[in-house]
Amino acid sequence: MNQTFSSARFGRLLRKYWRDDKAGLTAALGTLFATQAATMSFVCYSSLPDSVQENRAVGFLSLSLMIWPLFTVAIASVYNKRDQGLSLFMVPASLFEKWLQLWLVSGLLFMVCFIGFFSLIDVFGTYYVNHKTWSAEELSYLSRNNITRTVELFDYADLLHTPIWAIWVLLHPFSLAATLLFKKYPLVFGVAVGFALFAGSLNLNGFALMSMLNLERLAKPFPFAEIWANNSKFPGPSRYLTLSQPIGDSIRWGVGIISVGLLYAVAYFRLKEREV
Amino acid sequence: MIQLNGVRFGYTRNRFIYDGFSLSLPPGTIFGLLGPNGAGKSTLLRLMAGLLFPKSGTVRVNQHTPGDRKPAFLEDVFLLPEEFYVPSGSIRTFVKSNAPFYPRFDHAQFAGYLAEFGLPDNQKLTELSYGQKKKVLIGFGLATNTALLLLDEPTNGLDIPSKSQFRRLVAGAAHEHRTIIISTHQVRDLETLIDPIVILGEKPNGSMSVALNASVEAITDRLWFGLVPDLTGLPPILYSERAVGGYAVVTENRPDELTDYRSGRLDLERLYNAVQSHPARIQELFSVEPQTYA
Repeated sequence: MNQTFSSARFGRLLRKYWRDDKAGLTAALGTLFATQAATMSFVCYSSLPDSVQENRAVGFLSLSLMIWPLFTVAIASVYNKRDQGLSLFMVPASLFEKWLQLWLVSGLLFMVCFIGFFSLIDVFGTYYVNHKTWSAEELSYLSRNNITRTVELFDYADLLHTPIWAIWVLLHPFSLAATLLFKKYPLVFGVAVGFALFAGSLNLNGFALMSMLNLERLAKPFPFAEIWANNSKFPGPSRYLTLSQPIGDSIRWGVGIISVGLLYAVAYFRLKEREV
Repeated sequence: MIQLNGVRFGYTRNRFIYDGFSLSLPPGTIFGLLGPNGAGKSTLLRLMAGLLFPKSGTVRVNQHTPGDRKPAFLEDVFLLPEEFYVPSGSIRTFVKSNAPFYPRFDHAQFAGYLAEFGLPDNQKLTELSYGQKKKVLIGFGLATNTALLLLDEPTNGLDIPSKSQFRRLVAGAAHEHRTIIISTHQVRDLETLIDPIVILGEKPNGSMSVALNASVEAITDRLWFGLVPDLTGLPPILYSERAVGGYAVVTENRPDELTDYRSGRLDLERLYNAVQSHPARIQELFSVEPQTYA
């Protein structure tokens, strides 16, 4: 049997994970759903229709930015615990399979559930907004500003217009690597401090661009340069302008992809070298 | 065959528990691994299981290097640590989850062990006492039929009847292709089970080495265990302690000088004390690891 990957062995590993941890995993996903439902109800669907679209994108990213690292640390830090780590390392499966299982549960499973729950909540939320009875003041505000009373289901392409989506892509590999890199307090030392510094420096770059170019909204320096533009002399619809930088964009994409790959590699090698 | 050659290992940079440590263990026996507290018995088992990596030197278990943590190695070794983790499901679920990883796992054998310990397989693991959990893991480890079974303080937490059950089950599960290594400081629990006996001793530089690695036959051939009324007229005494009716002693076995005394059976506790107090003489007698106490 192949010593690096075998689908039969990997299947056994996943079945073992489910049987051993289904209570914890179900509770974690239940909490995720409840948190998403509560936050989205209060933050997004209670606002006026024009705000709903933008609030949903912000809600999606900020919620996942807060919850995903917690979930990843909870899943991966079992390898940092002495007794549990020992029993996991002794399971007859390859290190690649163990790493892949971590990636699958903390990354893919989380994302599928998060998007699934978000879409489900959005169906109900959109129905609620479209069938809401507005007060007289709200109706007058909506007609005065020429705002339509209905909203469409959330379009995930809108996420690309938020300045933090590129940071969001790095969130899982960063959290996974940090959890296995820092044996003690990975959430504090690894994810919170490390990622805050990283995300902060990127946003600082955006703020610097905003102030230097005298822009109204935060510019996106990564993964491609984009600014929010409007014309004060000729009021009309504002738009995002992608600043064409062929080489710069290629470098940014390259750096982003390599960063993701390197962070996952760090997680794998930390798992490989971990002593119990 | 387990082979450790010139192994150096320590948890801190400047202090090594093992420095140039070598040990060779052939298959088909139940080794008893004895040593003082902090001697690194658990560390040694973890090095053999691939959970720790030697700083230098090599560890080989059969044709595998444990540190590679390859599935082929892991499905042929089972480690029962002193402190262990059990998931929250029932014994049946635990077996369903873990048994498929071990190609020679015998369900009937495991059911027999559970019956012997009086544990129903629908019992939740988290509802069991420490000793009962340990019994489940001991039974599971024996039923895996792995070539290497590492048991770290297995009798800790077991009640008195369970200790004799443990001895019986381990003795029944041993065969010529299987190596069982039992690390313990409760030597009396395992006196009738372990053979050969490996005792770790401290070298002058503070690291540990093999002070004795010998079969029970070789030990009783070279050492004499008995009860004497006083300590005069005996061959060189390696260890003695006051006992009811005289002294319990370990001496060099010189039958012509011991004709007046009746020989007692091998006492592991006294053997251990003799090895710790006269390592150089023990080494001479057994010619074990000549470089160790040079």
